[in-house]
Amino acid sequence: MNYHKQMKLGKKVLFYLLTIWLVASFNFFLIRFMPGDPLEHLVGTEDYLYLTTAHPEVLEELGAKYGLDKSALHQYGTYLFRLCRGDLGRSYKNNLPVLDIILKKLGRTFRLIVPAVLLAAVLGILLGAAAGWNQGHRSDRCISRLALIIYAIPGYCLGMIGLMIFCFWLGIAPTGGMSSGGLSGGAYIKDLLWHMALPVGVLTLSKLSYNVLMMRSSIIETIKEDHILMAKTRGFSDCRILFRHVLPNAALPMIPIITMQTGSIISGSMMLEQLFNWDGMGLLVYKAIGGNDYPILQGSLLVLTICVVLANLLSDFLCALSDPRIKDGVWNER
Amino acid sequence: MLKLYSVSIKFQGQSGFLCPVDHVTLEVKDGERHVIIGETGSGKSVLLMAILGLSKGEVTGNILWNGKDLIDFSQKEYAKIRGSEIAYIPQGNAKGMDPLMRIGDQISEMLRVHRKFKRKEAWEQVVDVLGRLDFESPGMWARQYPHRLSGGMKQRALVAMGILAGGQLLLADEPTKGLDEARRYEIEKLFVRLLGASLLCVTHDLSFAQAVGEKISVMYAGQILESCNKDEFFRDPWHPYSQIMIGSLPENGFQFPEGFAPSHETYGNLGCRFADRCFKADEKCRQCPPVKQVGERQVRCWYAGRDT
Repeated sequence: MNYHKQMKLGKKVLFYLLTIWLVASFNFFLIRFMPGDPLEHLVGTEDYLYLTTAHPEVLEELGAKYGLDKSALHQYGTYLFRLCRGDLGRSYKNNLPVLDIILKKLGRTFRLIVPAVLLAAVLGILLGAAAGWNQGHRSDRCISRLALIIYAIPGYCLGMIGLMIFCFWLGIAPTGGMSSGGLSGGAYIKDLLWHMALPVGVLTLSKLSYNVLMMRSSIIETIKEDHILMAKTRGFSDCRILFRHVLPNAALPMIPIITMQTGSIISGSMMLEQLFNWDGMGLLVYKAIGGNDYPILQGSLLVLTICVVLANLLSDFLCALSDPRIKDGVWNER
Repeated sequence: MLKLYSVSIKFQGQSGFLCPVDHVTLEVKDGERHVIIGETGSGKSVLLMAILGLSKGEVTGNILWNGKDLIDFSQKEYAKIRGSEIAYIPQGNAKGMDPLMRIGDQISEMLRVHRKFKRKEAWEQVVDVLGRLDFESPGMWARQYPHRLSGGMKQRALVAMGILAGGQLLLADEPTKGLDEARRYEIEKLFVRLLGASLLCVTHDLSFAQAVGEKISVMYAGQILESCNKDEFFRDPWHPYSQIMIGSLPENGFQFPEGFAPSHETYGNLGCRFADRCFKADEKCRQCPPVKQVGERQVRCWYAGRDT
């Protein structure tokens, strides 16, 4: 790694840190600029009204305890300082550390997302390749039309259809939740997989449809390129041309698409988590909005931002790893 | 070896058929270096693609390869011939290489597919060949990706791909296009050294043709106008177009007729396709000229010969 590359890497990391800082600040000031006294959320509206008239000194004491008597800038400084140490505050609801709650829920959401994104990536690339390679044939028409139909249905709608078919008609899937409880070892894992099957399936299907359509058009573009024609003049079999030359080139644009899916899916699976009663990030945010739990909301937003930023970083890294031109910084040359 | 007999290629255009290659007859003998000279758009590259069975148009006539007619071949049968018997060398500045594969892997792929080499043997062979093609430290270059190579290096790597599989015939499409003088000289040397295989090369570079070719064919607007030995061609061209072309060489004073070759759509209405630009043309040239055969030489002109 030479000096030039170090500079590039440093700039990139700096840029991402800047993004996270901006979101954190935005988070802070957004809530400070909202009308109302933060203490009102802390003690509840009725108690607040009672205390302001009867015992204002109690409120002042409380304000001092939370640092609200200091200036906004001072509060901002404290907030950033705590953030750097990983302290996101405590939930209003049960007074547990926000970070602990979020990390727990994030792990549960990842249980849904990681298999779904991986399945959607592999199946999407293979099905899209099959469709693009046989462009215009019956298999292509079947795959791309089906993908288009599924793509047009919103995720939660797909989830409801899935619930209707597999739960209520066939009765082979649980209606929701993450486990039946009281199990351990192999039985627990089996039970978990059984509960995961439907939500993961629905999530996979909704991401898969987009991947198939993108991969199909990417394959069609790649086939037109000169070096594929040249591979044909060298007398290679169709199979070799498809898997060794077309597929790697066509799959390159899929890398950012798939990694960005991982980032955005975390916030985007809120409806599905709600539907399947999957106790992850989506449900946490949903409940925090309903319950005015600001520290949780603030922390979740920050963590989700970090997830998107990390996904971006992963995308850059994977692109550079798989395309030698990007590593050299000459995207257009061959 | 390779014999083309009355090969035409038709494309479905917006207004009727286009015919960029019209009744081309030529022969490449064993070990012979045959160069086709022609302007851009005269149908040279399309002809090469048709020989490989990769033309998008409709090909008629006979393409005889060692006695078998390639016109009847299926794509699967063709795949067995391509690369292993007839190798193709594309233009160096074209995007002829897979950008995601190392040069060495791409070249050795020919050996692994066509001659069933093991990966390691193939790699050693590739490094050896790159060394013979004047790559300094060939082992290092074999590990590079195509975008790091210069135009001349790419062209030489493509030549390596063509010759490695041990084909009997090389088809080369404008191998000097976009290369400077020194690189062109390298390619010339290479082609003359490749004596094992016969060569059918397409170019618009006269001095390259003179250096490499043993037999020269002149192509104009989809037809072969003249075909003869190199020495005869440069000493004593018969067709007016050839005469003008040789007159256009820098040492002969750069004279070239005004105007352009007729467009593909108007091919059908013409007699001699060169008549509009020809200094000998008269009424007779409104009819299609016959092909005269004198010894090895073929000329398509009413007034073929020097002073007739």
